Amino acid sequence: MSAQAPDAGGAPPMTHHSGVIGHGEAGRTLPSSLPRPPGELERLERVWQLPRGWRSVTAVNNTYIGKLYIGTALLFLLLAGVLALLMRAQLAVPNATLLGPDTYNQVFTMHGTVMMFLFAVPIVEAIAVYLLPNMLGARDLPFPRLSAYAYWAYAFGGLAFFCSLFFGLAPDGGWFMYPPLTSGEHSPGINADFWLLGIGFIEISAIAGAIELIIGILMTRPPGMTLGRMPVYAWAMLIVGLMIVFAFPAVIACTALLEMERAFDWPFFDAKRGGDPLLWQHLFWFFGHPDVYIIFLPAAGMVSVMLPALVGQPLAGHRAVIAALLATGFFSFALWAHHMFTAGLGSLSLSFVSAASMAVSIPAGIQVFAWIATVWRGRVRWNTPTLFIVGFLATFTLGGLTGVMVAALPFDWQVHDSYFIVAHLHYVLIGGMVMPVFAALYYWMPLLNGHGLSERWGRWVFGLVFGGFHLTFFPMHIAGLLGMPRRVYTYDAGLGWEWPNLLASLGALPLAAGVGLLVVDVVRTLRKPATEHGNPWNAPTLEWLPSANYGMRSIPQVEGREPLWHRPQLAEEVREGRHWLPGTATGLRETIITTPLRAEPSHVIVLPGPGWLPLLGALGTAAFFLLLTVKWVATGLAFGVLAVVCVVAWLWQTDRLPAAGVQVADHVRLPLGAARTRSHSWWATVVLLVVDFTVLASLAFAHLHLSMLLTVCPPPGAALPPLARMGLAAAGFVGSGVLLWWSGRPLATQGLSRARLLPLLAATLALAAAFGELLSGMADAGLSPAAHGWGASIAALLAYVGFRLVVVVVAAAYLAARIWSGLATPRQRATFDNTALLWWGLSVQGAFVALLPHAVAAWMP
Amino acid sequence: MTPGRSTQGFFGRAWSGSAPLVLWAAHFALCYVALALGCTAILGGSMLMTPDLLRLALAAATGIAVLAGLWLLLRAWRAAGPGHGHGGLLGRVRLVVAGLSLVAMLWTGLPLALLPLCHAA
Repeated sequence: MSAQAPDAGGAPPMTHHSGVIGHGEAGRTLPSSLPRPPGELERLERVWQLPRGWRSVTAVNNTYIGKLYIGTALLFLLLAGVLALLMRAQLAVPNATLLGPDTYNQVFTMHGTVMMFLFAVPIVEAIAVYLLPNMLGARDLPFPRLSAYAYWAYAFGGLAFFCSLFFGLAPDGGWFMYPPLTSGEHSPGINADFWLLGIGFIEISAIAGAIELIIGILMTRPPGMTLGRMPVYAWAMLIVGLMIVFAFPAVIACTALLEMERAFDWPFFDAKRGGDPLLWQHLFWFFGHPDVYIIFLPAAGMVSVMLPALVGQPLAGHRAVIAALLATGFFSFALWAHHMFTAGLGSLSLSFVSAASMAVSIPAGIQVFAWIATVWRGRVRWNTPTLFIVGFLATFTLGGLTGVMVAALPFDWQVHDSYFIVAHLHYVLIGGMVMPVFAALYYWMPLLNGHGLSERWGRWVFGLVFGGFHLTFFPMHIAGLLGMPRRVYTYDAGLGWEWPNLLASLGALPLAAGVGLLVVDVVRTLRKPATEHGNPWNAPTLEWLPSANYGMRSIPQVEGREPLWHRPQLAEEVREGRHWLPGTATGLRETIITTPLRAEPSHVIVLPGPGWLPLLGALGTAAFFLLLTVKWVATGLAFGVLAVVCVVAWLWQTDRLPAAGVQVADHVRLPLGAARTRSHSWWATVVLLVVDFTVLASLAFAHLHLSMLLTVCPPPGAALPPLARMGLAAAGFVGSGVLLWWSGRPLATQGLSRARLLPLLAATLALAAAFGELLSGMADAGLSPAAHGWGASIAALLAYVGFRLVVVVVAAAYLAARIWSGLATPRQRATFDNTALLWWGLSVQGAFVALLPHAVAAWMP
Repeated sequence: MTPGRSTQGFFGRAWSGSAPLVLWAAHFALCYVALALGCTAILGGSMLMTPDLLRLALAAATGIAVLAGLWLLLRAWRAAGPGHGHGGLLGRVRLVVAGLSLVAMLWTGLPLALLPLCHAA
């Protein structure tokens, strides 16, 4: 191990002694020696203990939140599954009258929406929240309160959203909500608003989870777990986290635009007033297609981790599989327009997308062949997780093949919006995600209370699910080829659609029975008394080490890609406390931060314990969005304030370091906390800024797209403010950033005194003045958002800058309070550093928005 | 390990591993955006932009991208190919993604040679 640098925040140098780390052979010196001090384990247990009784909802441990998260996501699977059964009952025979057209519209919209937004993405994040810290040997994720907040916001918001169905208020425009069908003119009620506000904020929760996972994977791995030794599942989740960061802002932007069109009559998507319905499709699918891979890659990662244990062989082509995951993540962003092959885009543009759609099948194929090779080399025991993985391979491959078929333009033109597409997407999503998730349930179930699910029942579950699935969805290919469009609530006899539909409806019964049997078995198993889980599959990965609320007793030193195979005594060593951080060094919850590449111990961070703030903050956030939907504006705003107060209150407790350094092994002391590029919160803020800039880029794209539809830019009747005024506003934004930098200069050496509040105030005023100049300049030029899509797109950019200004002003007030209280010191500087990142981000965005319309107009005719 | 070295090493390797994919993304984005902008100009009656000029520009961009992709593939092969110990995780990842990116760029370029430029589908 190399020497540790002094803490950038001013902590004293820490001591390391080389040669204390085990090297994979028994008898080598381990980080911590025996006997351990008396009471060490008891203190660790006490610090990490879960609150009991009604206070248990205040727990933030990843295992607790992860279990709730998985349970809630599975609940949504059942709820959306019931909706699917209703649809299959309705379509079993021609001219059925079980559901009327309006109800059917709500049912299929809610089925798709709940499956995609409330089950598929949440379940992959939920499993990661539960599994990853243990797989990475961390005590918890780096931001446990953020996980708890994200979960509760999702649970409150998701359940309230689902309940809209019982009041006839559920959205009914399909899960991708195309305007003009969903515009105020054609969908006048609040049904569409429930979708736009509800889903918009649930995506924020997904982004919070992604930030947590990215930082957790890169910074909280155990010492020695280099990137090359990291489990493929962690690789998959890292890539998925980054994909979420780049893809989800597009759906946040388009839902915000459609909601603004509905609320303020700003015509982004109204072709009569210079808008374009295709703008929605571009933005939605820029999220929507990567979303398919955001759902699939975690499942692929799980398979790559489960399969080696199940067949007793390392994963074949391990490095090629990681490369394939990376390539899939990239390629998936070029596929958005393959949902728009019949939208009238140019044939050459579509051919580019068609080519990318076919190219993405190559990395998917690499993974499939790697799994087949692993099975080929290993010894297959036909247990239930293996059956589900084989079922996944067969089903996903079929779905992939029909994917290549619909990637071909002429074929897609024939089957677009037909039941062939319904069949294809279910083969990909159920085959590619649900079956691996069921395999994961069987595989990882013993981690919950030491008991596995029943093998005997498992064979029935697999048979019913696999058989029922293919009986349901294979005939839909035929129905689609016979011309049956999707989303029809009934059909006439004599079109040849009767048999495929009847078979599909009959198949839904065993499929549902299989899922029901699985649920019963899960409940039955969870009711058994807890026992040690051991390592039932002889798996090589760390999550099978003995663990409790605190994760592992000591954080293991990792020496290879399959640590439990290479070092069978690791479980005993970890349990005895012979590895890293075998107790609590500060009397608080902690975990070790390691360097992102080589996983060398860098410093220790303190983690928060249980509390009401994440729960109340989530309640406030969910209520804010849902009450705005039903036009209870004042009450909604009150809940919004509650959410902000909760978040500020929880931040107030952070960025405090009780000691300079802590002993993490016999001869190793590490700094407590770190600053700037070594700080986990700094990097989390950087990732948040990427999200922020991607939202702005989506809005800028909207402006460019609508401008390109113009024959003259600005359109007749509209004008741009003088460039000099916009230049002045841009200078104000940049100047405020410089002032902020100046206000923080003494931080590295002596901390920020109250005198520094003055430049901070000046920086805030400069920001407000710049925004004022931007707004007044546009207003003086006669900007009229309701008159034309072009003006609406500029107004959307201004609104976003205004929103960011509010965020930064709140952050500035919070920073001022920290400075006033003497909490901005060289070692406690995260508040300033993170506020500065947000501030400088706004400086760049403000200047960009001030100048963009001029730049676009100069280039356009 | 100093913080600077750690972060630089990480980003340097991340860049090295993903450069072929960034090249593919840049080529794809350039083709898609240039075609949209070029066709807007052509259909708007621009004197500066003609179909031949647009096709030439896109073909030139594709040629440059493919050459750059070949260069990245060659570098990855030299670093990770037989006789070089396969270069660990990064070496193999570079090699595989360089190959995949090159295929994807060639594939993207193929319609350029076969289809009209600015006709609606």
